[in-house]
Amino acid sequence: MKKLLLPLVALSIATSAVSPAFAATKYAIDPAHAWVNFAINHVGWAKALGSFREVSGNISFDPENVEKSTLDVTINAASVDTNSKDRDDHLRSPDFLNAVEFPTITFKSTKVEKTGDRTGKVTGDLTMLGVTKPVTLDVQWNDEKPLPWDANTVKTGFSATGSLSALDFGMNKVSDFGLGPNLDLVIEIEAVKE
Amino acid sequence: MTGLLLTGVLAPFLLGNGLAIICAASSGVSQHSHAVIASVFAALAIPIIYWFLEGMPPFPPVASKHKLGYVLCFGGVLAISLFAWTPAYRAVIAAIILGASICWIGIRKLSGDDGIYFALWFILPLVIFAAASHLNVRQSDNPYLWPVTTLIFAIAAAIVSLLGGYIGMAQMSGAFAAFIGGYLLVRYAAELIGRGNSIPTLPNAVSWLILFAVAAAFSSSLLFAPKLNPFAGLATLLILLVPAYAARFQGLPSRIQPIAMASLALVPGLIAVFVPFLPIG
Repeated sequence: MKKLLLPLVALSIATSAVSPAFAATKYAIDPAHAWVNFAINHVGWAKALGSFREVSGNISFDPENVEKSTLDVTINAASVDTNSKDRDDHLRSPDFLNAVEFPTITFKSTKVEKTGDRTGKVTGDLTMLGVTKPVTLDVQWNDEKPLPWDANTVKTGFSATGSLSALDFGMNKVSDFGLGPNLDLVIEIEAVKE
Repeated sequence: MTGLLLTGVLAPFLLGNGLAIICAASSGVSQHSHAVIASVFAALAIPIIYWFLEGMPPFPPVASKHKLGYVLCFGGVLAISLFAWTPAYRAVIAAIILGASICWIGIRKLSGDDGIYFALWFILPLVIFAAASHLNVRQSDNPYLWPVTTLIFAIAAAIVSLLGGYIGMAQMSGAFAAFIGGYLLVRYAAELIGRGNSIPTLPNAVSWLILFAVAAAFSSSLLFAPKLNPFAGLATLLILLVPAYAARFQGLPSRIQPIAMASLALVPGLIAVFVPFLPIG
């Protein structure tokens, strides 16, 4: 048994020794420059647009080894903004986002695939209203460079799109109000290199 | 919109008509059998009304509105057996059941930072409901007592929930109002044509169950409506004190009694509806 274990231990030490070569850079999402926007069909007349004002999270990103990247985002459900206070209040109610019972919406990546030079697919677990479902985002890495006025602060930026069904998360009332049920996501995120 | 009117108004209203017809059809059987038949009908109708509006809740329930579905089912089962108890125990049990239901529905709110404030909203309906249940008024003396009180309570709860930004629970309270309104319309129409006695008084278990359903739904609004006016909430709960004055209506003709009771219940009801529009609200 010991004879079997020793090579395994040696292998794991060797692996950990080389792992820093694949270490992804960590970034913190800049809440002031993070836009999580959504569009949802409104009775067929138009697409109702809205966004979440409070977004935070961390990104671990390695352009050379994209598959090792991770994304962890938290959204304050009560920060929903559709340009109408009454509608926002209703969206915070248990009919929709239920912000008192479920104050946060989270997304944790489970799989990252590279699809092009600067594009990829990020699949992750989206937890909303106490329900967790897989959601895939099409992501584009835009650029990484220091701030024009502060060379020590480096920012990277991503654009992402995705789609989900509100019904999958138990938001049954969308149908009563002629909404959706599909929700299109348009996400723009800037993150500061740590 | 048509779908909403169908599931939120018309279907509950027809179920209320059905309750009155069931009561009339079972008038020939013993009082106990009549109570059981009407209770079983109401115990089935209330979860059906919930299902019309919210769909089948997941098991285990995830959100407070899912828990409400199970509370309504449990209330139905309990209502059938609750009135085997003496009135004193009945009031205590009714208070405990409503208290436990609100606690379970509102656990995430009650355990939050502002839990103490919302504990007041938890205690208030509990105390008032217990007091209301304890009133020693025989239904047979006043067949409109609880149905009319519950109707006004449900309508006020629906409007206050709507103004509070919780439209789903406004629909639910409105649907319960349509249910009891459907019963009352048939009952009162029979009264007007001189056949009021053909529809026996609603059994205590049934009136308790409908009141319990509206109280549970309104408690959800009190706890989770994003902008519910607390004074409007309090005024709505005061409607439940109307039966305390029921004795004053005993001398009135039976056709006038429900109108007199509704008029009295409308006082706190109208306050509840208009308070949110006042500058102090």
